[in-house]
Amino acid sequence: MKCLWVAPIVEGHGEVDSVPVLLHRIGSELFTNVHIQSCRPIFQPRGRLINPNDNSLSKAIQFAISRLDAVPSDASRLVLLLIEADDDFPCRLGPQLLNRCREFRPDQPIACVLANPEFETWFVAAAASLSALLTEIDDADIPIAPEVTRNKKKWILDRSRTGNYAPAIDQRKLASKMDLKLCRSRSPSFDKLCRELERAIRVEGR
Amino acid sequence: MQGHTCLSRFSKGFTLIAVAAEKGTTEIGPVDAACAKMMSDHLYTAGELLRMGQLTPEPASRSETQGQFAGLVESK
Repeated sequence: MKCLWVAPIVEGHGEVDSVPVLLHRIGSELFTNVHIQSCRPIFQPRGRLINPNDNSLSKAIQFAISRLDAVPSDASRLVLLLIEADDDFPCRLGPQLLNRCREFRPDQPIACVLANPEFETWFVAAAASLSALLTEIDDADIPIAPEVTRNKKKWILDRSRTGNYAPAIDQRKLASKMDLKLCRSRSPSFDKLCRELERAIRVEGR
Repeated sequence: MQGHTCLSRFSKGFTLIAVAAEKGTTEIGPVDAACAKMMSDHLYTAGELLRMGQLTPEPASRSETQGQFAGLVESK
């Protein structure tokens, strides 16, 4: 079995708890003979990460690499920058951030993935599988193209069985229940995450 | 929610001890190597690491400290 250790850099408190769950599930459910283990995600505000005049991104990358230095030497490694695209175009912001990351540490495997436009978009894409946490949803209620419009936090809130949506509490539950195959088929940005992980396993595992 | 407390300054000759309370269990031990490196390289302060939720006891030290502190807890 191949083992991939990921050091995520995230922008939200909710992602700190949910991303390790998501990564582990992707390894065990979407890939064959792959175990993905996550270091505790490094949280930094989005505005500071994307600001080229701020050194938060370079510091976070150094920290992530230090975290990976402690993992078993036979495992593949990846620094994963995972933030929301928000109003930026992922096709522009993604490569810009990746170039900055590689300028700091060209010797390290680094991937940049932007949830488009929000992290919650992935839950909306897999909403049909989240009936335990969201109220009954018929097919007509689920957006055909979940990545086209914003405000998916409100979409989740409006359908939450508890009547509340707190990312720091609820994202982990949603990430542990969502159908990953369904999400990958309906969300190109989630598919990008899966492809980056596949690439890290393939390239690093040589 | 985790709770952590820094007990001492971190610089040469000093040790930074982290305390974490998770699921009813309190753990104490030196901070992990990555955090120690970040502080010694002056990339992050202990306070910044604390706010980022990164300042936790080194995993390997946890079982050792459990043994060291076992005698301090009265058995019921």
